[in-house]
Amino acid sequence: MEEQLAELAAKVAALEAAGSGTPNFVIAEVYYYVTIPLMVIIHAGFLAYEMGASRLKNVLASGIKNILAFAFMMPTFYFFGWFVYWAWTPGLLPTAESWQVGIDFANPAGAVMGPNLGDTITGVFWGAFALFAATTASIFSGSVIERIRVSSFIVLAIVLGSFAWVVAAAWGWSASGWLVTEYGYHDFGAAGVVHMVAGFFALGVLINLGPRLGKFNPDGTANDLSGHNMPLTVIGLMMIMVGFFGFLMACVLVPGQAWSFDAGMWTSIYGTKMTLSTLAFNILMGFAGGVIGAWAFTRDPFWMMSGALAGIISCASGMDFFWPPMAFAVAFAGGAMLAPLAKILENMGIDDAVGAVTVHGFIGVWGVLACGIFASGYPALSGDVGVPTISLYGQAVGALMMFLCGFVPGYVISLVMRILGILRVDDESQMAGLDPVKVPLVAYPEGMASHHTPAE
Amino acid sequence: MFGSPLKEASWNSAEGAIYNGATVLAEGAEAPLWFATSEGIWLIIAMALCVLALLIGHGHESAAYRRERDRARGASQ
Repeated sequence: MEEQLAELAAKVAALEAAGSGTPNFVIAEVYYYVTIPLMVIIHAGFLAYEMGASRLKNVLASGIKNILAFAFMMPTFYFFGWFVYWAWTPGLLPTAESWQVGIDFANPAGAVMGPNLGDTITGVFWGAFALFAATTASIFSGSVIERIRVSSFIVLAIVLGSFAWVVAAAWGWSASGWLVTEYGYHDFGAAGVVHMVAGFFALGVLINLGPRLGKFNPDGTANDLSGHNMPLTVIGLMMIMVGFFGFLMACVLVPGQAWSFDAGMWTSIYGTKMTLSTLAFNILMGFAGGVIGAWAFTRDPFWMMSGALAGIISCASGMDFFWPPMAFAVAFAGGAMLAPLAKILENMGIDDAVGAVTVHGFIGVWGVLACGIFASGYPALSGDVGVPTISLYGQAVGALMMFLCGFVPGYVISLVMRILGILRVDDESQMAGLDPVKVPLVAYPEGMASHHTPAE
Repeated sequence: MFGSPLKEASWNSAEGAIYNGATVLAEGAEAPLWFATSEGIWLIIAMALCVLALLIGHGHESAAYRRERDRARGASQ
């Protein structure tokens, strides 16, 4: 027995010795690298969600639009999105000092943004942030299906993904952002900087874009324009859940690196201490709370799975320190709110095809405020006593800024596009369906019949 | 514009930027403006390709909608 124990101890020692050969920075880099493909799963999920929510005559056009959003986001986030994150921290415009920070960390014409033996992490961080950007574009993409011109959509997606949300992130998702340093704004899981900005950007565009043909009757009542494949949409939502683990992993800073806040403890992007254990608790409890809350009040599978998203977004801002049963309750409330909020939006004449404004915009507000209601008093930054603390007031100011960062550019640019006549697909093409009009392939060659809107 | 920036045909002494076409300045030389470096030129080319693709896509799309509009109007007459 003793011999076996000694043998086992020797093996463990050998394994430890072998492990010590892997530098700590390699493990840190792999940690963030893994978040990138995990977040690609979010995009795959949104693709399935959006295609399933489209009618048969528009399914491929919706898919093309979603994939193009992803594709254009990568180069544009390289060209200027990453730079904006570093340079826009002081406020509406960068200062000379913050501009130089942008040049130092994200100059797209500099050696920092390419293969460089002296810098092994920038590309990995850039990739993770580029996927956050793609997520915002994907959130927006679903809401405008079946009637937006794809080239105009791409321009809007670039504005959202490579500028609007990045400014919001520089202000409220960075330890040097003014919302954090002056108001103690806390948004660990980006309920505001990603979800609110994308959701309200979509709202601004939807106002100018108008509803799908046949969505509303002359008396203002709404028709149900169901997508062609609800199972695909539900599976897409579940894939988004998988990707959320990568998304939230990327919101954490590993310890012990030159760029870490702490030598021995995981921290949030603000330098506040946390653990991965917290994430496992609260992502899963949030997911469950949202699903159950939505199911209890609707029994509709679409809203039930959207409830999963709403649940995580509800507790995203304070996910790094919420008590798990409370995260469940906050998420439950978010899930329960979904269907009534979507109905209010529909009654206002807004045709949000996938509920993006409700799930990401309205529930994002709830998530940001919930952190201020239930987690006030925590220090919002690392450092000694005296740093700003989290408060409902600070969260409300942050929520207002997030709304403006999303809604204003979305509304203004889409208004210009509408005036120029390049925003909306004309009625004849909507009636025929975007696939037969402009896609050189058929989604289901076996000859499934497409269905028509009540107006047709 | 392209090619290896390594000082010698060996990885032994490789350090810093290793991407092809990396601007290598002679000792004491003044750095050129960003758009005159190979990094800047490739950046401008990549941006131009995105704009070009967007314009071509816009053209394809507009033509497709125009065709459908003409077809629908022809069918109704």
